[in-house]
Amino acid sequence: MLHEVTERRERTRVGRLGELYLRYADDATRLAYLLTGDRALAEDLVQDAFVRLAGRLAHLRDEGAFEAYLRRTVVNLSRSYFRRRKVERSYLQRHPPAGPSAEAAPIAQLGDRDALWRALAGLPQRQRAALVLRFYEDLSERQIADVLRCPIGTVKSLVSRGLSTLRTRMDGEER
Amino acid sequence: MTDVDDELRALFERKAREVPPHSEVPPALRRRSRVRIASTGAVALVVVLVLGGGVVGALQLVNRAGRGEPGGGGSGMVASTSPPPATGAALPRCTSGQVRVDASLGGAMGSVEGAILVSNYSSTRCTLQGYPGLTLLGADLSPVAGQNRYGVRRTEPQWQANALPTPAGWPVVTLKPGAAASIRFRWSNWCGTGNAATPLWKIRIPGSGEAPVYGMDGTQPPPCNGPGLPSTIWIGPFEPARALPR
Repeated sequence: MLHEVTERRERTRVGRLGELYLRYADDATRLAYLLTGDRALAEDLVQDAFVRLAGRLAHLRDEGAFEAYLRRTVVNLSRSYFRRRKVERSYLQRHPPAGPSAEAAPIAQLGDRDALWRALAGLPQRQRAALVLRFYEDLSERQIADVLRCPIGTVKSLVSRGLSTLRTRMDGEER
Repeated sequence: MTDVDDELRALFERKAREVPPHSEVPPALRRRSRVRIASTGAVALVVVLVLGGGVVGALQLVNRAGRGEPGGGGSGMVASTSPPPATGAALPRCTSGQVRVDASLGGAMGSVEGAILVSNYSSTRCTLQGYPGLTLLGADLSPVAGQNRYGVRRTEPQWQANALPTPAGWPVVTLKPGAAASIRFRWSNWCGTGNAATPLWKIRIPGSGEAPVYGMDGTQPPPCNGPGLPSTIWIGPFEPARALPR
């Protein structure tokens, strides 16, 4: 009896997760793609995010909260990915530290010819995340601070430094 | 030249359109989420059974004590059936497998300071208490040694430094799923050489093993004020993350 009830609940939750996936996966994948520059990686991160959220569905009352939670999970997972990658690279010591940012590799590997896209790839991951959340997701500084878990002053500084670096690099490209 | 903000917006819009729409749920997602939900449910069931068993046992002891039956008498037994401990005290300690560690640090007056955030990424509540341990690692992930000496000192929590009221439940910090505790952090004078020039670091949760922290989120170590001067890291105890000024 208990087993049947548990199984029915599980089926309901998996079904609900499917509905949420169909509703939010496009937005989440776009966000992950802009954060990483790699479409396949973005798909993987979004799937990981939904699996993580599957365990939290029972506590979810407000769908608006789900969207915010999903966004934060995608940002966190992409940061974890780049952090892991950085450690692996340090450990293997195959690349000299003076080269382009290790975090930027997925975008750089695409061979994209868009100068701004390439410049974005060279930014530290937190700056890139702040710019994506500000100029793609149109979040306020407070909302970005909540997602990145940092003070608002840090968000202002991340956005300002990111834009300034992009301007410098774009000027360099034009010359 | 158009300002880079507008170009960025246009770039993001254009790139976002490259992502094809999702018309069906991947079978792998269904399978993985079923496993996740089942494991979460199993953990919850075990917790309910354990807590339920404890409550039933306690009630039986109280009843026996009230009736003067053997096994229920004696002051020691009565004491053990006193009201259950506060919720925070009954919760398990957070283990390193349950948490994720992030740093929110910035440079200030020749040092690096800010907070280390420890977030509960599990689906159960747990607690943190006391001071964490902290170790600096070289690029090969071994603890830095030799000339690269540093000291770790304890400091007061941020709420105390800001003369804020004591957070509820402190020094125990109860973390709901998704909630974070913070650790006040300050580091001065780093003249590390070799593979410790930009060290990685990890923190240790008392009684629960180590939680790795890789790198400093793009934050550089503090500047070198003098190779002969000590490098010191001050860390505070765990405290609720909201106690920090925003």
